[in-house]
Amino acid sequence: MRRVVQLAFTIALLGSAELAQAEPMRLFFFSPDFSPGNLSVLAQAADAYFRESKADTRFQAFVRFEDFEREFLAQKPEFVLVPDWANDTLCLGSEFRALAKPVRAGESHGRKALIARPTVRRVADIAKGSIAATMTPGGPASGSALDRIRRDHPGVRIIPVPKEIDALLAVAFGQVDAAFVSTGQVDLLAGVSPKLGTDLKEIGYAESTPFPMIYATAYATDEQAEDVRSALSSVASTGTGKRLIGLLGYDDWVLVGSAEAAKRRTKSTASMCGPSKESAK
Amino acid sequence: MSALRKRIATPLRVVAVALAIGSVSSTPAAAPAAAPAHVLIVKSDDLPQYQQPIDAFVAAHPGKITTVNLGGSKEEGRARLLRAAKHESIDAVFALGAQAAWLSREVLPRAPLTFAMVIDWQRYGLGESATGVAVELPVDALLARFKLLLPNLRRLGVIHSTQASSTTLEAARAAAAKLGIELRAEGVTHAEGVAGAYRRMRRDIDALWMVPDPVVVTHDNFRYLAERTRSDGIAFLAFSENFVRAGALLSVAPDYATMGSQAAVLVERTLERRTGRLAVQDPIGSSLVINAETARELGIDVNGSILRLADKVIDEDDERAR
Repeated sequence: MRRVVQLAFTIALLGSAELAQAEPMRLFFFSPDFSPGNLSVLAQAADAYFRESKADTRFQAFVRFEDFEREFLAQKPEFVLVPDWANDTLCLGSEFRALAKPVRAGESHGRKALIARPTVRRVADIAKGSIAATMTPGGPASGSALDRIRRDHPGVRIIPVPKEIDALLAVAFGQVDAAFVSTGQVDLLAGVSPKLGTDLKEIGYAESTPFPMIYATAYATDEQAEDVRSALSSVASTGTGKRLIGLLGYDDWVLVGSAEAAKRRTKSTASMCGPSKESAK
Repeated sequence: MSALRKRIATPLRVVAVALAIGSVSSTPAAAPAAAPAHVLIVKSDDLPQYQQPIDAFVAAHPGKITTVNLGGSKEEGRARLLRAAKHESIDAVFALGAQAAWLSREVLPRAPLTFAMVIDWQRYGLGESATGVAVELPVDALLARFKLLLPNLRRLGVIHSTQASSTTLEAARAAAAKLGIELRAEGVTHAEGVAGAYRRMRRDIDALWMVPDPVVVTHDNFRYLAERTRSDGIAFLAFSENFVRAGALLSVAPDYATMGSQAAVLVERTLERRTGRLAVQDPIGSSLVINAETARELGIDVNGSILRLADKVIDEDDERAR
């Protein structure tokens, strides 16, 4: 009788372990450069890809960083897809391990610059002018190039637009004085209308920033991280994978090797975040 | 009323409401203002379209804001405006909708006026005494977006009523030519002429551009054009997301929130200048919506650059799979 009870208990434990494993992993996404209108389609594409890749992961996208931060702390997701400043700037309290970086036209970095019409030679020429740019709700991130422009030239007004191409077309058609956009956007415009593209020029404030990467958080096991790495390794070879990276605006995701991953580890620093939750207890 | 008819009716109703408003009396603006500026936001009615520009304006304006809803009524609206002006000192007015702009001009002639969401604002003489943000995307910027979304676009058809301005048509033709697009236009005198106009041009065009022309855009015409363009392999380009949901390939429309941000800058600049008037601006933000199912039928790669430009991709297949 005692053996029967032990056996039943063991089976129940195994069953609950299996149930726990069946819970999908979670991947949280935030990027100020991604259009909020497409988040639902992006989530559907990501869920479909990870399901097909046998790394069942639920994708949850956020429009506002405050919401991302709050839900991260509450739900403790195993993976995040965020710009590299996310964990450096804010206090998420978890080390991030880089798993994969996106690639577009062979690059994993993008450069943003201030683009103006040829009559404008330097930023001082538009000190009382307007700049169109994409940005997060609440304004440009502190310390960013756009923030520096605003501090250096208090008379400049920044008009938020939904997409970088809106900013670029606005300056091309003389509706604003400058646009703060990825330099690749100028090539895109030149491809459609060489005249529009060549009528514009960079007047400064270029900055190179890495594209948002996929990180495993401290809440992911090594096995889970490996499952997702494995899924990401073949993203560009399937229809659903191509759709996912296409929606994000990339050509592929490249796995990050251990040396680079070590370099890319990010953790909120005590000086920026104040006492950690552990030390505060 | 069918679901399709409801979808189409919304933008048309907005146009009809705007056109029904009467003429405008203009008064010169003079603007003594003290910082922080107190802005009176006046909206013609409680239309949901007004909320995005209001939210963006509020986010951008650092001073005090009071909002008045005219409730769609001229008399009650005038009374509400008078009450608001009696109790508060107003530095500037941000008016949404033609009635709000017109009544604000009449009731608060000394407060600098900035307007938005006024269809065909020139009809109301607002440019003489106010500044603002137009609600229509300029044709050159609109066509540039079509070309960005469809790089192979060479021949663009447009069906318009013969009452449409020939100047507007010529401007569109010139803007298209700069982008390497040949514009093929067919004029019609009544709604029943649209099908024939399409049949005459269908072999000569890659895409059909539907403009907000009340003679052309009827429920039956939209349904006919949506079906025929799909079967003919022609991209059907519309001006509202509702049409994309009903089968058009894509729409390019102004982004309402950006209009509010632009208006906030105009208010600030107007108060800084104290004299004179700033020119009315074109909207700079856009909303690009694509129907992925229609795109697939037309053989357009929905995983490519088109997705990078779209604000919203409508994919019935995804929604069904979910």
